[in-house]
Amino acid sequence: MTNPYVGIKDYQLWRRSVARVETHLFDPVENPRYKIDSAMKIATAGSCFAQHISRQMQRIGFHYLIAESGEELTAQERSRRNFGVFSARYGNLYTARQLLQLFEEVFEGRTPLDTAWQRKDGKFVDPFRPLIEPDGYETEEAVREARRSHLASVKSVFLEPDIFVFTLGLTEAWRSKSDGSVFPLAPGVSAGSYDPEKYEFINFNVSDVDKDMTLFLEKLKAVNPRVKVMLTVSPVPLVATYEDRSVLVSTTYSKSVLRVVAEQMLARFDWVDYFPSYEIITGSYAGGLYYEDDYREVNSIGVAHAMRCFVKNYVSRPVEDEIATTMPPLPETPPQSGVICDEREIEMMRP
Amino acid sequence: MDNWLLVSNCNTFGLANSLRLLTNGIKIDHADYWSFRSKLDEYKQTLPQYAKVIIHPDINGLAYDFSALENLSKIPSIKFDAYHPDLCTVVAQGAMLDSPLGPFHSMIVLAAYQAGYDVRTTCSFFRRDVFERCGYFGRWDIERDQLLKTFADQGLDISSRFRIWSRGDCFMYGINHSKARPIHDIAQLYLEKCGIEPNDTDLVPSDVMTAGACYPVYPEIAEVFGVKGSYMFKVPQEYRQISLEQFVEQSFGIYSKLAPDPFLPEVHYTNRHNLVKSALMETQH
Amino acid sequence: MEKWLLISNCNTYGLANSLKLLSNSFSLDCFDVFELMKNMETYKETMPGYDRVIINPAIQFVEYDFTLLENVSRIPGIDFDAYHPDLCYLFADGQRIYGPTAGYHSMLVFAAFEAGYSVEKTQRLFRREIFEHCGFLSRWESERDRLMKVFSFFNLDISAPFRSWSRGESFMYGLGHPKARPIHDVAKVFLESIGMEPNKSDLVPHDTLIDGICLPVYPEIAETFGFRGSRMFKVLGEYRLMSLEEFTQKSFEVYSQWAPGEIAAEYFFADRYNHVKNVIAEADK
Repeated sequence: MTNPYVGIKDYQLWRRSVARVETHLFDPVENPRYKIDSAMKIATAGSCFAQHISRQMQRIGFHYLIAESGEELTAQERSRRNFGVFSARYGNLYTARQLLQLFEEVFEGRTPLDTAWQRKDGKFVDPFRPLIEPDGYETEEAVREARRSHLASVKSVFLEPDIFVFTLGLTEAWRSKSDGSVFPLAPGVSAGSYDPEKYEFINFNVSDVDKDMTLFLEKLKAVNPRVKVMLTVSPVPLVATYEDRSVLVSTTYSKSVLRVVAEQMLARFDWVDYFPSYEIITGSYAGGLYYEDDYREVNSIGVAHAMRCFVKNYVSRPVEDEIATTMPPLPETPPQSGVICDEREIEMMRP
Repeated sequence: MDNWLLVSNCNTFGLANSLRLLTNGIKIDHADYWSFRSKLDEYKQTLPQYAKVIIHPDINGLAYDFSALENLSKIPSIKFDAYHPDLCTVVAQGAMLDSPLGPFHSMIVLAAYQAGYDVRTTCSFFRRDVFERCGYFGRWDIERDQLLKTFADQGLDISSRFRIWSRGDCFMYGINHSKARPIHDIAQLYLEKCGIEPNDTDLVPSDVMTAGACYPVYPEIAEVFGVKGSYMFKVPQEYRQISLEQFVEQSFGIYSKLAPDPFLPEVHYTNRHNLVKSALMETQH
Repeated sequence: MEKWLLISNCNTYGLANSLKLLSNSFSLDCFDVFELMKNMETYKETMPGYDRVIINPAIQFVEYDFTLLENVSRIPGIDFDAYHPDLCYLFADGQRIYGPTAGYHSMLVFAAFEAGYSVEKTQRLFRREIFEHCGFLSRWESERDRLMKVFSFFNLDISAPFRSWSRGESFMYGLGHPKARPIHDVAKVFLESIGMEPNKSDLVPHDTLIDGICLPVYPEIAETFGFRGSRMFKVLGEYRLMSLEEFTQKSFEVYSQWAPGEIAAEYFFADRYNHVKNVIAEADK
């Protein structure tokens, strides 16, 4: 008697690779398609979870590509004005459509009709990255001018990296009825105003996202033949849904679509890999341990877990480093004094 | 070095120890209400010397009127009966009557005894439909609101901590005995309110309340709150648990010695006790 | 009812309280190994009178042949250094040296002292890169396997509870000092291993070992085990924490009472200490 599961690997079995592993040692990464070394340039983009990845990449000492560095500014000013959060100051690119239209704007001269939205305080912001410049701009023209120089930087984010990391965040979005442009935030939330005649809600389905992602990846590869892509899905739930149902139900739908598309890209392109940070953070094995008290934001220990798995599986390290990090074991049989603690301590514990 | 005095109830030790773990450079003296009362004359002398006197709001004016003190703060303790809606305290011959679990009596056991049921039948009343009739599943919202208000009245917002305490675990050993973590969190919130940054530590003092009586959350009730329940009753002052049957038996033993003198739940339990009594009357057994 | 006796180390009282909570089929006496040594003659007489004697195998160095007893069980203590890889014992003149956290010393602090560092410079050694080179981040697997092996040698399988202890927090205060929950779970596994069904209750006795020294798990180490960690050291016998700075300062004061070269790491830790010393020398370059 035999069955097809005889002889499958440990990581294919829940009991062996999940149930019987300490929470912090769980590692779902198998067979990575490439390795990353410190000479390779890495660029990041995507939803807010991608910000954690960006920060960690810099901390670990990767060659993290920052096309808009704000060198002339103080560190405080740079962080206030969102320099270095991603490889360029595009803000959160929640949807695959946003990523695609950004690429088309840079390389194919796509020109969106909405170019500046006014805030409540009278200042103008870029509809495609409304939160990036906290002070806003005095005029619409200033917004357009800033975007032109931004796009020049974005160009190198697509052309230069060896590894492009993209975190898929959402399927729900708002778009312009006139030219189909998709915005990161609904008009009226932080700037602009909501006019149902001009804007509409869209919840992308699997074939929409598949189409956008495929198109983007093909176009990216065409301009940067050496690039490899790493896709992740953000484990951060929706802050709100526009569908008339529970925000959690919408979250599950949204993440499922994105996860399916990531899988389809994996099957389609052998230079694309999927990194399961979504599984590391949301997995039942973690039991919510990796979320903040609001059950939404991912906490630092969760990010650290994901990055441990990333470094362990994707980073090629010289062998001598590994040896240096081990510690001599204690002798096999410790003397009694090592095990039996002091009486003065026991004194405290006697009832 | 600043010197603080804490005067509270059975929470005193836990609260004082948490404050000690969370602060530096503050000497914290503590007295529970009873020892404060017994040394009142001494304390009257020393009270003004403390940089801060922290009291349980309920003790103000009992043995001493603290209101005149300049550096007076109040920290309430946790009272919460949603996990233990069957508990009551009983008065007999003018004094609090002890059950096998110290001050905690079961209203079902008491009502069953008064109605003349035997131990076996009484044990059979511990089930979902009886609890439902007794209103035991409906106490969460009012108890939570009351608890949050008690703390908010003293400028302490425990709402987000409350949600954490109640996640997957019951945070109470009885209606007024909480576990160590909530007490620790309250100490932390208090320090934050005073503008003192608490030490960055994950240590929580030893849970001394476990030395006292620990009343189980009946599994039928526990399920509603997403925690694990039990029918093992931990007796006070020793690490021993008795079964429901033993608890009923021993409670009956105590009640039978009092008969025929009247003994009743404390007055604020009267309505609920009456409801339990009528619930038992309607119950098939 | 059977009469049991438990003799162990600092785990004794937590283990005894847990055993009592978990079963009603025996009465339990207990004392620690120091008490045994002090009154050996008396205990030689009384020990054979018990139906079961449970010992920590580590106490078998005392001058008594436990095989003389009819029914001896063994429960090892939980020793686990992955959380506290920086810890060592020091001695001079053939005596253990006691510092701000009693017999526990930081290898980094002592090595820094020997290398003539200032308190301030010493604290800068407490960073990820140094920990990594000292091997402080890589002790989990070997320690886990060793711990499992020790327990399974005595027919105790603690692998499932071990996984829950280590979820999102540290389960140790120091090298041989576990928190209350692990001790409780070991008691439970022991009862099951001799075919007894433990009480269905989730009650854990109060923590006895928190009265002793509690060493922090440094945040850089804690992160790799999935929790936050701290740099605050709890002193012996009181609820008071010391910062790393205070700890370093007080350690230095103790070490400076000896002539250079007089203090050495206990041979048990000698190899590790030399490694740490080399790392510091390397970092200085």
